[in-house]
Formats: sequence, structure tokens, C-alpha cells
Amino acid sequence: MSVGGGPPSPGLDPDGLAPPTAGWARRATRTVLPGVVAFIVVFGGWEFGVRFTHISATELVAPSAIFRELWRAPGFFASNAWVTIQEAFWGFLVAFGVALTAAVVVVHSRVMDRALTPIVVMLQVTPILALAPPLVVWLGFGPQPKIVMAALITFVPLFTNATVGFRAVDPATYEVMRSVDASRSEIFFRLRVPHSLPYLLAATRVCVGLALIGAVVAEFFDSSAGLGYIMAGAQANYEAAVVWAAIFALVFIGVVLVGLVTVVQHRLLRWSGVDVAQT
Amino acid sequence: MTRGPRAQDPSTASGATTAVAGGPTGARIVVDGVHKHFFHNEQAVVALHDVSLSVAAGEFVSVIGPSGCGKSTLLRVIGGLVTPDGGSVRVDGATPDEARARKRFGFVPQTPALLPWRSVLGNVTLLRDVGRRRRRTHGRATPVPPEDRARDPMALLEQVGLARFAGSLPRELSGGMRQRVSLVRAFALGPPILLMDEPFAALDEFTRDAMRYQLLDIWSQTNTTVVFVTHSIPEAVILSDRVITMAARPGRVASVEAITLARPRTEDMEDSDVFATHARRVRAALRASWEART
Repeated sequence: MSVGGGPPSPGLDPDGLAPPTAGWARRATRTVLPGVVAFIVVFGGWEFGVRFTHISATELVAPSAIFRELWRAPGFFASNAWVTIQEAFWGFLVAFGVALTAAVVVVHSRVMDRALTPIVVMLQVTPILALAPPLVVWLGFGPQPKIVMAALITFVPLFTNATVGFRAVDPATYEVMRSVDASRSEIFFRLRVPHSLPYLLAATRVCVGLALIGAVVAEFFDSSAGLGYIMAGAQANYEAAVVWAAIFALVFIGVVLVGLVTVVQHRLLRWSGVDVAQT
Repeated sequence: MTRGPRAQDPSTASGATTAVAGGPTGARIVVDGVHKHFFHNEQAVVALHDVSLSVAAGEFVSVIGPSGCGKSTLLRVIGGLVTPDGGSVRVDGATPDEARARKRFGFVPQTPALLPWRSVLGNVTLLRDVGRRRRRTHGRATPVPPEDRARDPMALLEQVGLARFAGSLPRELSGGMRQRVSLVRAFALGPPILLMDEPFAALDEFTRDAMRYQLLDIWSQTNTTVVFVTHSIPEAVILSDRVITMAARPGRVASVEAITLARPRTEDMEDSDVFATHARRVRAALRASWEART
């Protein structure tokens, strides 16, 4: 019989799964409105609490003061945020590469699994943030200690999820692949990698925040730029509003990055049928 | 289809109660004195004890037996997915591993085992695309390239009524539809041998019934040899040329029933006396193997 693949099949939409065009505004309102209301309640309450009680500005800064601070010097916060983002990004990338490599080794070798697991557990229970001062001493005042911090703090979640994902292969599917003598690498790329995607993307979501925290904490200890640098300096000068402004900038970055990861999740995991926003 | 009608009287069937499944000459699969044990909680469990059987080319053989009788293990030993501790398995004179490398098996597990990120058509063509590169680099002699045996996947999907779902993802299909895709995936390879491990066990009764005849329909157009593991006596009888009953602890062949129903099989035959006689005998063999266990 002839092979060469049948004709490309037309896309199928038997039950009209396409989203209706009407009523999108109502749906948008329904998805966005609760978040907006919660935002107003939290920050309104905060503002109200600071203004109409006897809390002093050094104890708690009103949101209006924080936003004013951001508004006053947006370039200052943006350029320092950019430094932190880069450190967090490179740290995450290093951890991602090392974690994936280690996971591949562990999944394919029982000996290596037994050798590496104790080290990973040790790393997991280590208070990584406490490593910041010695890291700065060892690696100097450049971006290196920040990158290493971000990498260390994101390694365990990435590694754990990668191993679980690589192993999350349906045994029956594995047998079907073996029944036609699929090689290890074919099973890896055609089964293990796609199966691990939901796990890796969920870990990435978590690690966005962790990588930023790692970079900022390393910046506390002697640095010349970054949101952590701003916080440390402002703290020393009792400029609470500036500390809070840096925190707000950090939160904003985190929210945007998590949003980006969510978009990628939706794009890549459409097949799973799982609502990734719930993870 | 070349299978002629057979004798209708089951009492004349030869070898109906022989303990060793002797096949005709030119056997496609020869299992000879196979042993296999596993360790369960540090205790050795004998999954297969001195199991011998042979399956002729184009034959449809069902293996039935209580849980733990080793029928699934036997299927995997034939397919080279489990290595036996003793005895030998030959598939067209080659080892199961060689046969596997030449894509001579179509394996249909109990679950559809589809890749959820691939479309129906992508799943059906998957096995064809796998394992090629290695074959080339190792320079193995491949008498029949899989490309020449393979069947048109779209035609097969059409035959099971799934052509219009070729672009769908597995999660958009029902359980029965997914299992049909799994069946088509195995047939699309054009394998001489089909190994099926309770493929309809997870389906509802109505879907099962329909699937049986769909399977026979595709099978009749190919010259495929089938080893079919099942829990269901009616399923085994209506599908098979022979039904092999296994007993548990240790897993062994208890009896063989040659089914004398004519081909092609139809649903009416399930009401016939011949069918009832065969079913009764298989049931008796199963009961005997069950009682022998304790």
C-alpha cells in the first residue's frame, strides 16, 4: 500500500467549539472584574488605614506615597529593575540547563539517581538565602553572586519537576513504542519531553518569583545596582517609601513574567485539556 | 480473504482438550518451554511455567485465564517486551527482538495509549516514523521494509468511521473512538502479527460488541496473525480460531479449544448451539484451572 501520509486532514470543529464573538465584553468583565475589585479593596483599605489612624509614615507608608515615589523617578527604578531582571533571568537559565541535564542523567541511570538524590535533598533543605553573604565574598561584587543565588534557589523545583515529568510516561504508551523497537532517544524526545512540559512550565511559573527573590537578596549585600541595592540603600536612610516602591516594582515585574509564562502554557499545553490558570 | 468455512460440529474438532497447543507446520510464532518468574515482595512468583504453543500464519488465537495466570506476560514474551528466564520464542524463525526491530508486531494495549499532543492521524502514523534511523545506522538486513507493508492510515480511519476526526486531539474523542485509533495505529504498520492485551476490556458492553466485528473486518482483509488476550469467554469464542485457557500459579497452558464456527463470523453465530458448546467448554476449562489452583 502506498504510504507518504494521507492528505492533510482539514481541521475539525464538529460542535462549533470556536468562541462566540458576541458577549466577549461581558466575559472580559467577568474575568477581570473580581481582580480589580480585590485590588481596590486591598489598596483602598491600606490607604484608609494609614490616613485615618495613628500609624506613622515610618511604620507604614500609604500606597499613594509609594506610587508617588515610583512616579517621581521612573527611570531610576526601571534601570535598576532591568539589572535585577537580567540577573534573575541568567540565574534561571543556568539552573534550567543544569537541572534538565541532571534530570536526564537521573532518569536514565539508577546509580546516578542514587548518587544525586541526597545532594538535591541537601540543597532543598539548605536556607539558600543565608548563602548570600559568603557568595558575595567568594564571587565578588559583580553580577556573578546574584546569578548564582537565582540559580541555586530555582534549581530544586526545576530538577524535581523535570524528573517527575520525564518519568510521567504512560507505561502502555512506552510499551507500544518499544514494540517497534524505538530507541532511548526516540522515547526521550517523543514521549518524555512532551510529557514533562506541563511540569516544567508549572515549575517555571514558581521559579519566576524565586529567581527575582534570589537576585534581590544577593543585591542586599554589596552591589552597585538593582532593586535590592535600592532597598538596602533606602533602608539605611530610613526612606520607607523608596523601599516600598522597589518592592512594588518587583511585584509588577513578577506579575508580568508570570503572565508571560501563563500565555506560553496556554499555547503549548492546549492538548492536555487542563486549565493551566488553575495551577 | 482465504479462510474457508470449517466444520460446524465442535465435537469433531481435533485437539480440543490437548494440554499442549500444537500448531500446524509453517507456524508463525513458536513458544517452546518458556519459563518466567518475577519477584514480588522478595518472593519469586512463577508467571509462566513450561509454556509451549505455536500459532500458524493468519491464525486468530485467544488466550484466556484468571488474573495472574501469566497471559499478559506470555503476550509480552512473544513481543520481546519481556525476556523469558528459560525456553525459546521464535517469530518466523527470528528472535522476538529481531522481529521487533523489523516492526513485525502491532501491539494494542488495554488503554488506547495515544500521545495526547498528537492528532489522531499523527498518532496513527507515529510508529511508522519511529525506529528508522537506527535501522539504517546499524545496517540491519530488513527483508520487508515497513513502508511496503504499511497501509494507508486514512483508509483505515475511514473504515472504522474516524476519517473526519483525523485532525482531532485524542481528548476530543470518546473512549471507544480512542481505542479504535489504537487499533488503526497497529494495523497501519501493516504488521504480520498483532498482539492484543485485553484491548476492549475498558469499554462498555455495547462498544465492545461493535469493536469485535470491526476488528474481524479489518483482520479479514489482511493476513495478520493475532494473539488476543481477554477475560471474556464470548469474545474469545466469536473472534478466534483457537482459544487457549491458562491456569494460574504457576502460569501454564491448561487446555486448547479449536473453534469450529465458519468465517466470516456474524452476530447471529453468538446465538448458535455451536457457539454455546464452545463457550461451555471454555468455561469448564476455566473453572477447572481455577479449582486446580487451590
